[in-house]
Amino acid sequence: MPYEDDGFSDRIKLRTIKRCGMMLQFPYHRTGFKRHSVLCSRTNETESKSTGGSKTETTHEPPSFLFFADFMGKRTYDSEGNTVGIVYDVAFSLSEIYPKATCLILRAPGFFRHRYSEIPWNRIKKLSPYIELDLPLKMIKFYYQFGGQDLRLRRDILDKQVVDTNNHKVIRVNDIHLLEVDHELRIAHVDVGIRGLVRRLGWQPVVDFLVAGLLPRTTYFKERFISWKFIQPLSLNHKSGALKLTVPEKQLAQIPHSDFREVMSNMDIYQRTAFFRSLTLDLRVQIFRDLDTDTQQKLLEHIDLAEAAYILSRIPADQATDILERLPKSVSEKLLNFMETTQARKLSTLLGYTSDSAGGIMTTEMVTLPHSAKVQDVVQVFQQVPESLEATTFIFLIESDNRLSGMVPARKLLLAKPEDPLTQYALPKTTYVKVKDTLREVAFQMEFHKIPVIPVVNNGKDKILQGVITVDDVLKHLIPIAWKRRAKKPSP
Amino acid sequence: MKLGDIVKGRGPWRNLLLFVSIMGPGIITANVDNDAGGITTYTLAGAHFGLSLLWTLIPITAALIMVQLMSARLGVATGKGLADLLRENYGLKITFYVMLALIPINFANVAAEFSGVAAGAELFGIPKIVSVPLAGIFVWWLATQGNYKSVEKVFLAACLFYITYLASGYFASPNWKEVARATVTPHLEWNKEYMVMLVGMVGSTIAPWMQFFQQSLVADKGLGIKEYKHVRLDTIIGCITVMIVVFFIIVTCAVTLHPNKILVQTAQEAALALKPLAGKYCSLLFAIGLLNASLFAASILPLSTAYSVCEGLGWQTGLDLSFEEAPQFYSLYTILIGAGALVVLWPGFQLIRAMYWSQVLNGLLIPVILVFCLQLSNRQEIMGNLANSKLFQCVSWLVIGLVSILSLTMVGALLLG
Repeated sequence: MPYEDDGFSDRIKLRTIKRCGMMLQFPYHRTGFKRHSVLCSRTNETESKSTGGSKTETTHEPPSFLFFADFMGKRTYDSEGNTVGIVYDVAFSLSEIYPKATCLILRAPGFFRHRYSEIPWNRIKKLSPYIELDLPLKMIKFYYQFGGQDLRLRRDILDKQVVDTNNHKVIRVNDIHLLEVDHELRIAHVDVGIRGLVRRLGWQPVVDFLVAGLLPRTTYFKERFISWKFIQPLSLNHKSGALKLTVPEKQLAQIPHSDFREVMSNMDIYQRTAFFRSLTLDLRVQIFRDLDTDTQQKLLEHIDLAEAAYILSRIPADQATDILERLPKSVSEKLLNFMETTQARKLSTLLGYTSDSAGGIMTTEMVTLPHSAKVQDVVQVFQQVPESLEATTFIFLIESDNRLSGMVPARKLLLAKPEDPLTQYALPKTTYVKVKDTLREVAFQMEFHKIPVIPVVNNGKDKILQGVITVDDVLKHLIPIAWKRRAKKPSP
Repeated sequence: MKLGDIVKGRGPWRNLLLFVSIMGPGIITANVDNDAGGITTYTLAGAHFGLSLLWTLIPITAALIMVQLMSARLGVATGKGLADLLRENYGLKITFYVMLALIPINFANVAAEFSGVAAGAELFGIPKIVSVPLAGIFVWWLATQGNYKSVEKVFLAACLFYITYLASGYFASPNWKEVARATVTPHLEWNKEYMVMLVGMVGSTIAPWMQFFQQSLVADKGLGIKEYKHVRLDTIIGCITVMIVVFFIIVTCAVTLHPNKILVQTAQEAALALKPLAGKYCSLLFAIGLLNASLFAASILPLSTAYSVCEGLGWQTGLDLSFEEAPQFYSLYTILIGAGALVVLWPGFQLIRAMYWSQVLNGLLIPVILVFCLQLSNRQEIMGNLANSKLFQCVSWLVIGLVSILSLTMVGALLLG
């Protein structure tokens, strides 16, 4: 396999697509195109072995490469030597890394209203020099249309865009490099080079001759191939406005959520919405959490109120507040009406604070236990806590009227006995900030006491617990300020 | 109910703001259409035939709007340029040959623009050996600023300069009653000169690069189906304003040059001839208009060509890339500007020759491009809800058929002399 030892297969980021195209899994400039010269374009042994998988007992024919441009339009004969038609397209199944051809699509001779026929791969007797089927012409049925969900070279790959993950550079597939092993056809590379372009135009012999004669030191003969391994097509169905994922959804779910953000940043809002809808509800919530606030807001505008409310109620409360704050009041009220009541009440409290005060950045999601609770109660509570909860490093102890009485680092409880009272492990001094306190004050307090989470209490003297602020909440608000300052400073 | 509907509101002010942010592609494309070649054609139409061709402006506007809306819709529905769509739906061969034809056509157009710059500058006493290289450098510099948003504002400002033609029309003080009557009464003369001029007007109004250019502007701006209402308005306003400018060019020449039997051959001659007939201001405004139009189109045509060709052939495009990353794009762009300017500086070069060839080639390519556009925008799997209805398809085929026949007639007439 090409690139196996190039040392960046571990850098694989994701496999996806933009606008009916394909996506590279690494920055384009790293492809380090495979340099085939004309003279040695024959396969080497290792390549065919690793591609075939189960092809160890192959003895019939040596594996050979061919280009789809040359394969397209090949004449096909039936078992009795009659012309059936010419090769129009080839269907592949995506179940393996290097897809295997499953179907040959032939076009019957004729000029108007073309008729097509799909021939299963096992009915093909031989592929070269011409294609012979082991079916008589009478048995072959032709149709005016053909469909199919599988991967089609001509429909889904040829002439489509390839986009890379980093800087969205766009190139186009000029030709497809196929590998023929023992009557089987597999996709090996896509050709994005100029020679592939010339080959498609049918001028290759002439241009090759001219270039070789006129420009002896040209790079023209170096083929620009990208291994199929690094390319993943997902075709976009324009009719329904939804992205149709030709990779199994399971495979998609294995992509880390943070990478979806990158995928989605490459799409326009319609594709984004379509892509988003194609996911399961759980996945939607998880991915939504990872998006930046701008994208979240835009996406929300395109989905139903009920769904928006569902998602908002399942992401961290401080994020939800950020989004709700950006929306006009009438809209956020409508959304709150849709949401389940407890969550809505929490959010509407949060919306009451200004965004640069402790109250504005805090979240109301935290683990609280009564003052008298024991260590074993913590385990019970943690079993019910949703995974999305951010501030789980501390447990807050409250008295009956919600007054803050202490905070316990969860770390300490690892070695605690189940029947010990929680107060035994609480920090000696309970630090807190008030809802009105500035961001500066919050940051200062957290740094001074070296704690990653700080509780927020009401402005009165009774210390009623309102929420907590985690260090990432603070950072999120500080980083933009820091950047602004840096930008203002004249560079040395 | 969608959240977006509530956020966006429905007030007229909000709509206006939204339109201002979306406006651009349609207005700019339509105005670039009024380039050096276009202005020359309309000047000749007025000078040679008086007001008798004025009535054609209404049907031409309708056809222009229809064709440009088709491009806008393709851009909105697919988010891709026309070259992208051709490549993906018709394969490499067709795309390649269309691009192969597009390069010389747009080259001829670029040369025509630069000679328009030369002519416009000469009216102010600047020799072309100074004005053309300066214009070339300016054009190159403007585009390589990279930020389309700011460049778009410059272009929109350039559109305002077309007002000079309205003003020169006013200074020519025509008999408005007569002008109004000529605008609405169809009039045909069955002689060769008249027909060639009529067809030439259609040909210089509907040009192949416009389809590519508007669609890629719409796509690059990221406008989607939701904004289509405003995109449509933008296109219609653009087409109508440009035809108003054309109207005034024809009127100016028709009421001043035609009655005095001054058979000018270029826009430059027309501007000079206007001085004794309609006053200094009229002539000056006419010259400013020509200079602005040529410079404006010269900034856009090479860029549009480089974008379309590289898109279609799958090479990287974009002014934010370095030369090493997009060599084909930069080479094509620079060669078009450089060679276009050089041709004009070549001793013995005539604007009429460049225009002649650009019109012949335009006429040959336009039917092909229009048929592709129409076929693409009829297909539901590409266009979704914006696909043409059956009725619209019939009307479009008729209009496009007519435009194509006229274009091919023009090519025949030009080639046979």
